[in-house]
Amino acid sequence: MNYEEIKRRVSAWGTQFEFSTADRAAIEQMYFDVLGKHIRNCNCPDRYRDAVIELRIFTKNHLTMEKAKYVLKAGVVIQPSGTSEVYTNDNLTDAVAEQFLKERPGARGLFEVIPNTAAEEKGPENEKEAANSADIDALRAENESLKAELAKMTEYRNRAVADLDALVKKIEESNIVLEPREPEKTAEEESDDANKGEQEPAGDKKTAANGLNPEIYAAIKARLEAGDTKSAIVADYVGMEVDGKALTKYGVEKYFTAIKAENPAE
Amino acid sequence: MNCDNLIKKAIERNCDEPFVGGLELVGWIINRSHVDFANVEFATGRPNVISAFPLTSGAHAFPVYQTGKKPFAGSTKTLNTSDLGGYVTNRVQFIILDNSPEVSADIVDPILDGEFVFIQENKAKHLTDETHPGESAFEVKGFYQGLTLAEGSLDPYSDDANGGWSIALEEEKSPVSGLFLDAGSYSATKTLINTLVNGAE
Repeated sequence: MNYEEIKRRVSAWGTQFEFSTADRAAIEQMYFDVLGKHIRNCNCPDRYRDAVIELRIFTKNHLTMEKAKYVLKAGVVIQPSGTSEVYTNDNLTDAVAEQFLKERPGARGLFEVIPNTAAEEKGPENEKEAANSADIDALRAENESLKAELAKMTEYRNRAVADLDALVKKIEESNIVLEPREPEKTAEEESDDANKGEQEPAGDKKTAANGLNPEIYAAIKARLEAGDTKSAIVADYVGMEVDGKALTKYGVEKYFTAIKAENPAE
Repeated sequence: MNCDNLIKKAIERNCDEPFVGGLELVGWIINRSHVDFANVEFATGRPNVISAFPLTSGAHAFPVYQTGKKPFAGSTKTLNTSDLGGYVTNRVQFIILDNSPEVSADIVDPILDGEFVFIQENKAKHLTDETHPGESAFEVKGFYQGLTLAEGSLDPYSDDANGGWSIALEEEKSPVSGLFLDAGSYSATKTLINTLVNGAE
């Protein structure tokens, strides 16, 4: 019901001498809606007429006025300094409330409702809160995403473990004996092996296969090529410890034989 | 609170306004848990005067209407002594001239275990006081300790209660002998009480 409707009905009741049951119910309802209280419960014959008069006075004084956004708590009236006017929610205006709070900033607790001024005063703080709130929301979303990823990975892992178990069971049932394999050589190891083969001379391989020491073999060969006599070489090498054993004259001659067999022309 | 325990005023007759005893026909009861204690304001420099008495959101006071020549008869203040000093017992007594399921459910049953604050209007109001006219009109009881049930009875043949409920609430060990409600003038305080009854709207 708007102000015009209230005024119209109150004005109409003002001209009536008696009220019907419907009128009485309507007056009671409007009295409560407009004044926020019930008509006094007594046997007074004029209680409805008094209520209508009270409504007329109230509508005349207040209903043309826009209702303030500020609301005082029950049990509070304010009297701005320098005036004798006492304000309640019935006649409070935003300007009066703002002026009062400017004079007494600590009196905010006397108000039930203070329109967004608090938020405006705390502008930067609110922005910070909003930013923090956005961060928190983003972190929550990320957390949810990670949880979903974790659940997915856990499912994969469980599936793999189950498959492996099934395979092991199958092998056990089929009595297949698995022999351990030599570990496969890596490409690097294979390359090293190839290099070794290239570095070793063919003769040395043969010499090593004959049980001769390749270093002694090479050294004796070099001395022969240099023109040293066999007796001088024998004299130098007999008694030398090679591979844990002392070299004998016969042992040195084995080197001579091997060198000669390798180079028949010489 | 007067911590120095020194009397600061002559004990004399009030010649500006004749003193009259008694209470007005209407008082107001409030559930004590509905008082917004954090925002109650005391008048500057007057520790026995409350200037703003806000209630929590949605709460309001309930009028207590009495009839007869001695409304709230039996309402008293008693000064007591103890080893740790004196204290005050406030008693509020009233009649409920009705008996019904609603009265039992909405009034008497809550009184059995509830804690209340009561505002009574004195006939002596100090209306002619130059600085604080009407400062003595309204007294608050139960603010500090809460009023709880002291006695209650319903005697269908009682002449005092006319067959209704007789209720007595008491606040024990109140630290002050009187706590008044004064919003600046008698009419301002009366308006304040209307807002207590109507709630914030």
